[in-house]
Amino acid sequence: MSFRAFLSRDLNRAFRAGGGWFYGLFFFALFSTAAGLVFGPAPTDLRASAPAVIWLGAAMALLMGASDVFAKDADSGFILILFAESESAARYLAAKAAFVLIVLVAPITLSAIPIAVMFSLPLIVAMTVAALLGAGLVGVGAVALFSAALSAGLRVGGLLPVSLATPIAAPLLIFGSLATKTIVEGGSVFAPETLLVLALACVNSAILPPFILWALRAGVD
Amino acid sequence: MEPFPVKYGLHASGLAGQRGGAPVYEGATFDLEPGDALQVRGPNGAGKSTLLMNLAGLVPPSDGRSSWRVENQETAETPREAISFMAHRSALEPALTVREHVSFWCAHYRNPNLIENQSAWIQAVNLNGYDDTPAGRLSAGQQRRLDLIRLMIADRPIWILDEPTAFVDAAGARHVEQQIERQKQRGGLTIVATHDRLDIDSPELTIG
Repeated sequence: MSFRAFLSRDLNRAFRAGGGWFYGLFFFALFSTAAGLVFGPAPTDLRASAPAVIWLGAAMALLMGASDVFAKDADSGFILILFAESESAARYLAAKAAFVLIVLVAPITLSAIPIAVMFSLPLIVAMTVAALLGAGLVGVGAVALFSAALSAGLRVGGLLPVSLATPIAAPLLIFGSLATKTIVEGGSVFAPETLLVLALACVNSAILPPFILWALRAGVD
Repeated sequence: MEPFPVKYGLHASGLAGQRGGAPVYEGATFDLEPGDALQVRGPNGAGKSTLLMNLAGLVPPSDGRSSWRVENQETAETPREAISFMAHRSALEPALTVREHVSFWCAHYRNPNLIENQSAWIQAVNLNGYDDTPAGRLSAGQQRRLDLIRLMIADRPIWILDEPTAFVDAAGARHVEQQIERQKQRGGLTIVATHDRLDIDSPELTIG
């Protein structure tokens, strides 16, 4: 089994018409713009709302954007073949994780810079906020993959898997938003909440893969 | 035609399977040596696909036991890396073209020597002219032919095939039979669930 083969196939598929890779990014831009309009034009109000809007919008965009990352392979029977013919699906999962990082996490993180500027944050602060968001989204990405595996493996569709996964991502959202608030208010970049975000991202990425594989395998039974 | 370096046998005794908690077949007993093929036949719902899933180790049987034989040693462990599994659905990505599928499988099964022969594979299953056609636009029979290329590229000694001739025309069915005969001659093992009796030298197991 080849990591590169899986990744290039998925990228190839995603960038075709109807691949839908940009839906998550589109949601993030739309949600942030709508939130900015709701909070009004006052820079103080926009700055105060920025941490929650950016983290909530980015996390939901990622969870929804990645929700069908296993669905096509489950529908076509490819996952069944994968488990029949391979001792381990770890490379397949690693390729899916890389796919989510390239197609969703990276664009959402980069788009957080202009969105943060739109929320009246100075450019250097916006870039710091985006960097922290990117680190946190790695952990949210692991949750998104788990949610997608539940959806494909246990054949439950719609918003239910995203709703089930959101509580798992909640600590990252809470501490990510708090750490961003500290940065926006001029506090230390290495505040305890920032370190917690990094730790949670690492823990999610380390703990969730076996559960993701279990959920995919359960769909074959 | 090179024989497989490692050959497998399979023994099954009193296998029974269930689907959704309901029993679908029972008493499947057979013994296969390297180079053998077995046609599993039976009406719809008889449990042919369930038996294949049991043999592939995807779902445990509800009763009985099966064991693989390799180098004169018996093991209950399914030799997954030696198996090519063809499910009743062709595991194709509708957006990718025939050539892209072939290219993906060559990389997936780490068979880089075959990448240069992509056109030969496509011609071998009579899909020439469809190289740049997305799999989703092929007919069901053509999709089945494309899935057959995957088995040839994987080049594995154990084939577990679920209705490989479904939707396939007479010429395509003959090609499937030729490929199974070739697999047999190389010392490979083939278990095929089929409604259409294949013209191959193999015993039949009727269930259901």
